[in-house]
Amino acid sequence: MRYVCETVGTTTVVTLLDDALDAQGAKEFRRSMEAELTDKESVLIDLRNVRFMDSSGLGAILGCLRRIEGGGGGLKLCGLGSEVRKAVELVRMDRLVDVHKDRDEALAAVRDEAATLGT
Amino acid sequence: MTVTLTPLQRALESLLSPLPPHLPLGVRLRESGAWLREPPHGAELNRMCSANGSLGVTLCVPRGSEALLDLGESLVAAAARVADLEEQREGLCEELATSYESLSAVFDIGGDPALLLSPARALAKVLDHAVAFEPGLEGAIWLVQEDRLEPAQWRTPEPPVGRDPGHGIVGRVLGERRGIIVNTRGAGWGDEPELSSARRVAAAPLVARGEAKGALVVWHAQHGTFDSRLMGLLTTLCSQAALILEQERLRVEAVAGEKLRREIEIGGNIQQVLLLGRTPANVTGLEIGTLARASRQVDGDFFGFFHHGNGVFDIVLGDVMGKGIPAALVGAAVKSQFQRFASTTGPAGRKLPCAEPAEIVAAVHDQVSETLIELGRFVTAIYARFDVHKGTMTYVDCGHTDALHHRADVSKVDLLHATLAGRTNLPLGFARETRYEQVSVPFGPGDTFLFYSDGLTEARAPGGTHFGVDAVATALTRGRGQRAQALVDRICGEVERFSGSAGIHDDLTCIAVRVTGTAPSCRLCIEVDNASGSLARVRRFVSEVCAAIPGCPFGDEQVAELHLALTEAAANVFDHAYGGGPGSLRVEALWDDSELRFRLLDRGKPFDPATAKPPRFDGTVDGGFGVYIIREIMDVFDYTRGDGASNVLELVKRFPGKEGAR
Repeated sequence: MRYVCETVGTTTVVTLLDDALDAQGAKEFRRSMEAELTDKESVLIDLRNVRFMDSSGLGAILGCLRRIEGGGGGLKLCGLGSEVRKAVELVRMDRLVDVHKDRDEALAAVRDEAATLGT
Repeated sequence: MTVTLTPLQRALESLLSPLPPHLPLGVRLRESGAWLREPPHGAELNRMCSANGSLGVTLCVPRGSEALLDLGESLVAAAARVADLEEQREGLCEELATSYESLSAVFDIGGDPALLLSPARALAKVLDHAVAFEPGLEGAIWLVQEDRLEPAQWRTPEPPVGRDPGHGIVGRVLGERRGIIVNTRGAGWGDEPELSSARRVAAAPLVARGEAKGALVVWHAQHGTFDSRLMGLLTTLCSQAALILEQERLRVEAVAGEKLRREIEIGGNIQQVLLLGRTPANVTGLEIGTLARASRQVDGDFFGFFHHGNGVFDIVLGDVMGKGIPAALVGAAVKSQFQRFASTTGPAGRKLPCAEPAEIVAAVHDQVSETLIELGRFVTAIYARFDVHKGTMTYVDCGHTDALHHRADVSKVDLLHATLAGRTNLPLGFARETRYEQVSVPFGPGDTFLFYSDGLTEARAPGGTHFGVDAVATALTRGRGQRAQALVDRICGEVERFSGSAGIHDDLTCIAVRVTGTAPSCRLCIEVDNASGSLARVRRFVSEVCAAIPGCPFGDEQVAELHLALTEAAANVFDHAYGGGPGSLRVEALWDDSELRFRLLDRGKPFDPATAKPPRFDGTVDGGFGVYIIREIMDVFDYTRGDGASNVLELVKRFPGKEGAR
């Protein structure tokens, strides 16, 4: 899975580029994310290009979530297509991670949260 | 002279005192001669009459004074009545005292709900009350158990020993069913060991429902008198004890009744689990519907299914003579023999060749006929083998009802007789030496077979007519084209309507087999390896298949779901069957007018998805969702170990609008 990693304000935004994240790509993606997301406080994974994600892909995202939350940070997702959303809802991951419509909405939410916390 | 008056005499004295002193009436104590009432001095008393003997007085009046005599006698009578009343009053006081003792015993024993649950403790209290009547009392409660007298409670230095109930004082009490007091050792004293040093005994029987169930006995080592007060208490205590025993008896019966009810419940479970079982869902080329409507009791109807793979599928339906749990157990035993001989798994898990139906039935018969003959029960059965690829159904009828075959091509119902020559095979357990013939009939797509037990055809209407095989055939014809389960449900409904108020007394057992297609209408397949990109290829295949189905029954969303389910299934194969290593996976897609079936075949290690652990959604685990996802999306997800050490996963999705019938 190829991706682009950028920093917007305090948030690290990871945009996935390939259209499918399945069992055959998930392991490698997970390893890459481990390196990228160490010590990152606020992370947004943008899935606008992803048309298909299976349970391995979802598991890799969950792995990211644990790593980020373990460091005291937060993870958001955005740009879920209908297939991906369906998979996320099937394994009830939408209860564990904030899901936003697109990047702007997600970043606005990050700013609001920071304001409330007074950081 | 000082005279002691009895209370009765004192009563008379007080009745005499208001009399005028000049009245010439004298009342003399007979025993001592002393005057209770002296006649006036100088009165001429020359007529003496004795009065009430129990008062011990004599009346003296002058001759000719009948009126005075009458007066005297009425006074004596009045005194006697007063005396009676006195006695009664004393008796009532005594009774009251006894009642009080009895009442407190009743409250103590009967009012304590905890004692209801512990008969032994309750009887202990009864005996405690009895021996508390007087210091130094010893006692025991005996119960009659199976013709022996056994001690249930005792307050003695040594526990008494159980013995014959005819013995001694207790024996008398039991035999005469009334209380006995013996205050002196003499004739009538028993030789009971515990009474050897006793000087007086009181015993009362415990009587319940007219029978003597035991006795309450107290005794004292010193002389004295046991009286009615004690007997009153003992009688009350015995009523309490009898009540306790009765309650215990009823409680035990209630528990037994509950056990019986549970037995019937368990019988019902035996029926469901051992005799029947689930309707098989994904049999290649066939659709099965089952009806197992139980009558009031457990019955001996059973059926079983055997998948052999390669399109070979067997059914057995049997009926044990008789009803109730014994019939059910025989049915379960016979069915297990069918399972044994129909199985193609041999020692060490090797696959054995599949025996012919006639051979299977013969093997079962050899196994069970001795036992059945000994039990005096026989079993009718029909064993039917469907070979979907050859298009033939081969059956062995063992004295069972004729199966029905509705042929779609000529729209006709055939009765399938036991043998070609029209002879019948004997039921199992009829005769030791029996040969079983098998018959084969061809079938085509759309045909329906019906197997049933005679509970169906023998169902009676209120007027006495039987439902009959013609009515079943008609229902079969009218139901052609229906799904197998809908068909049997409809037949059940018709039998119920037919029986009406007469009710249905036998189990209704029926299996319908509809041939959906000797071979699937259409099939596509691909083969992929465990290499990068193969899962994506599987998804493209799924899209192609969905596009190829006439009418494209699946929309984009459902195709997306199928992408997910098939990706998960294929990933599981690569992960578990091949352990992540190289291996090839064949994906077949078959569809007809109602459903799409994917079959994933691999030659890796066995992996049964049913053994997968349930997923956790709390974020603590990253995996384990695959099986769950597949089950959420597909209508059927089954695993079988196929021929030649291969795994077969089947994923079925029914077309929208066709998911209903099950």
